[in-house]
Amino acid sequence: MSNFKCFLVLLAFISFQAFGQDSLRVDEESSVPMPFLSTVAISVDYGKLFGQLLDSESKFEFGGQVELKDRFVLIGEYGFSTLNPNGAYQNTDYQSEGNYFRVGLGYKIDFTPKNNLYFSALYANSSFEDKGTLDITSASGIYSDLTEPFVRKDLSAQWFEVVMSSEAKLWKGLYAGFHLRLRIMGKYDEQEPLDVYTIPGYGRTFDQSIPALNLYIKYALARF
Amino acid sequence: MTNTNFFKNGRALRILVLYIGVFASIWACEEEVDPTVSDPSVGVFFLNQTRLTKVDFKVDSLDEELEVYDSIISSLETSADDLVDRLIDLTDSLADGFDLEQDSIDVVHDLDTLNRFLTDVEMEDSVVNAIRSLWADTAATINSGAVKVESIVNTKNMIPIFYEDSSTSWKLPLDMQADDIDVDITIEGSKTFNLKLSYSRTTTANEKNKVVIKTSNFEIISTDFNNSSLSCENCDDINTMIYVEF
Repeated sequence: MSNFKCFLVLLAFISFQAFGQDSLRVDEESSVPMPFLSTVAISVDYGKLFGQLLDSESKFEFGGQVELKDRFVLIGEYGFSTLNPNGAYQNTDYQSEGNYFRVGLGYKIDFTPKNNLYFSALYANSSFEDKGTLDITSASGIYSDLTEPFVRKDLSAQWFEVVMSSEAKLWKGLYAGFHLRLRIMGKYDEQEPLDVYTIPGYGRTFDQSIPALNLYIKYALARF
Repeated sequence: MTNTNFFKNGRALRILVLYIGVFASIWACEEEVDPTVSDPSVGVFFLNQTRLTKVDFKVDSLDEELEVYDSIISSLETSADDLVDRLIDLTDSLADGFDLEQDSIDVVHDLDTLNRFLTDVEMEDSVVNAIRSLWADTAATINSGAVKVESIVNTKNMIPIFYEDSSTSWKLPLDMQADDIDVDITIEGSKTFNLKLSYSRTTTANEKNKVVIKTSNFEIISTDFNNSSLSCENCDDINTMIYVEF
C-alpha cells in the first residue's frame, strides 16, 4: 500500500511538472491530416544494461510501440533476466531466470514539439524458473551438513502495470525518457516450503505492488 | 534551427553521471553473506531425581531434628518463665520480711543453669538450621535442572560433542536430514543415557531471510532415562520441552 501511495505522489509531482511546461506553450495548428498509423518505434531499456556489471542481475529489455493518430499507443515489451538478488534466501545461492512480456494501450500527450508524455496500462506475463542450493552447516558437528538443491521449472506470473512515461527528443527520431511504473501482482505460481523470491520483470513477490523506474532510448519513425 | 546536440547544456551528461553514481553505490553495498551455521534443537530438562531423593531425605531428617530442637527450646523457655515468676514471688516475700534468701539463691542458680542450656540448644538449632539451608539450596539447584552434560554422542556415526559448563537449559541438537535421532548423553557424576527421538521437519526462512530447518511433533521413541515426558506433544521446537529424570 505504501508503494502505491509513493507511486501516486511521484506521479502527481511529475505530471504537475509536465503539465506545467505544457501550459507555457501553445501548440501550432497543423493543416496536414494525421495518418491513422502515425508512428512506429522501437526502444531499449539502457538502465538495465548497467546491471551487467553487478553480480546480482543480468537483464535485457526492449520494446516497440505503434502510435495511432498520434494519440493512442499500442505497446509491446519483451525482456529476459537472470536474478541473484542479495536479499534473497541467503544460504541458498538463489537464482530466478526467465523472460517476460508486456502488452497494453496508452495515450500520448505531446505537450511540446520535443517532449512527450504517455499514460498507459499494461498486462504482463513472465515465464521463469528458480533454483538454488540450500546450504546449512551443522552447528553441533555431530550431524551432516545439509546441502539440498532445488529447481522449480515452468513457473509463471501475471501482473498489471500502470505507467507514466516521459521522453524528450534528442536528435531526429531518437528519444530518451523514463517509465514510471506501478506493478500490481495478479497471480503467480506460489511454492512451498520456500516461495518464489523474485520474478523476472516484476521483482520481489512479497510486495503486492512495486513502483519502478526504467530508463530508455527510443527510435521512432514518424509518418507526419 | 533544430538542436541536435545530445548533451545540450550538459543535462544528459549530468544524468549519466548521476546514474553511474547510483550504480556505484549499489555495487559498493553488495555484501558478503556469512555461511549459515545452525542445528534445529529441542529443550531438555534433566532432573537428577536419585540425588534429589537423597537430598530431600536429608532435608526431612534435618526438619525433624529442628522440630525436636524447637520443642526443647520451647520447653526451656517455659521453664525459664516459670523460674522468673518464682523469683519475682520470692523477691516480693523477701521484701515482706520472709526468710527465703536461700530459696532465692537456688532459683537464680537454676535460672542461670537453664539459660546456659538454652543458649547451647539455640546454638545447636542455628547450626542445624544452617545445614538445613545448605541442603535446601542443593535441592533447589537440582530442582532447577542444573546439571553438567559432559557429552552427547550421535550413535549413528559416533561423533560426539563435548560441553564444559553446567547449565539449567540444555538444547539437544537435532539432525537436519533425518526425522529421528539416537544419542547417548553422558552426565557428569552419573552414567550415560540413551535417548531416541522422532520429529517432523519443515524448511522455512527466518527473520534474517536465512533458510533453516524447523522441527515439531516430537515423540520419545525410547530412553534409558526415568520418567521421560514431553511438555507439548504437537508443538514446534520452541514450545516443546523434554523432561527426563535419572
